[in-house]
Amino acid sequence: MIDPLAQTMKAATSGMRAQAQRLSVASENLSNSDTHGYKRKLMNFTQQVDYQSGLNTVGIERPSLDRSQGEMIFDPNHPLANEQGLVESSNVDMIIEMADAREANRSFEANLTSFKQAGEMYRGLLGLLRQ
Amino acid sequence: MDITSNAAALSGAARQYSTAQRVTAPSGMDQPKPTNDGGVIAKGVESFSDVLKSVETTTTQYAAGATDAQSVVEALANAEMALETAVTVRNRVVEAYQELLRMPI
Repeated sequence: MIDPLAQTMKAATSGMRAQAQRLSVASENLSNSDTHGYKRKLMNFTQQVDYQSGLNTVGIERPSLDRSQGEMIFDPNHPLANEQGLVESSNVDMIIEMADAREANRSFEANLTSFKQAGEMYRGLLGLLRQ
Repeated sequence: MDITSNAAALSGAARQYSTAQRVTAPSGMDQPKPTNDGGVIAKGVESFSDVLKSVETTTTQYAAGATDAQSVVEALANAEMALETAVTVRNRVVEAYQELLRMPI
């Protein structure tokens, strides 16, 4: 027998873990926004099924790379410059990364709330025994 | 982990109860055979100690940097729930036993 409240906590924990990882990816991209030739990382979520309990939690797959080309800047003296004297800057858009980080934050909070909710419900149930 | 399986302290109380039963039973009477519910309680105790053990391993892993804070929080919440359940059930059993003791003979 699996306690649904414990399952809630497990699912919420996996969500929090995934969102924390997402924030880490966003900040990684942000920190590398000035790195020449850097390709921004994309977070990949995946569904993980626990076949024993049928619980669907969220898992993290290896991040993929956004292969789009970054802005080409004319700088012939740069060691990475091509024949035309152009250097590819990173393809990170700060606005997108900030939005992603904000979304990770909100999603984390949502998971945290459901975690707390499960705990409170369980405590309320025990309160019945306590009189 | 569920409510019924975490009746850890129940076993201690149950043992006390059966001892007390033996002591208080009139000497001439046949003593009632203890019912075979020890298995359930033992299982409860086992699952309870499993939960506590998982907290210990998770915390140690976290200290070593092998796992994340979320796992620690989850394990701790589970342990808290288990402990609260055990304590509540134990209190109920003790209360019931005291109620019996107060019974006029």
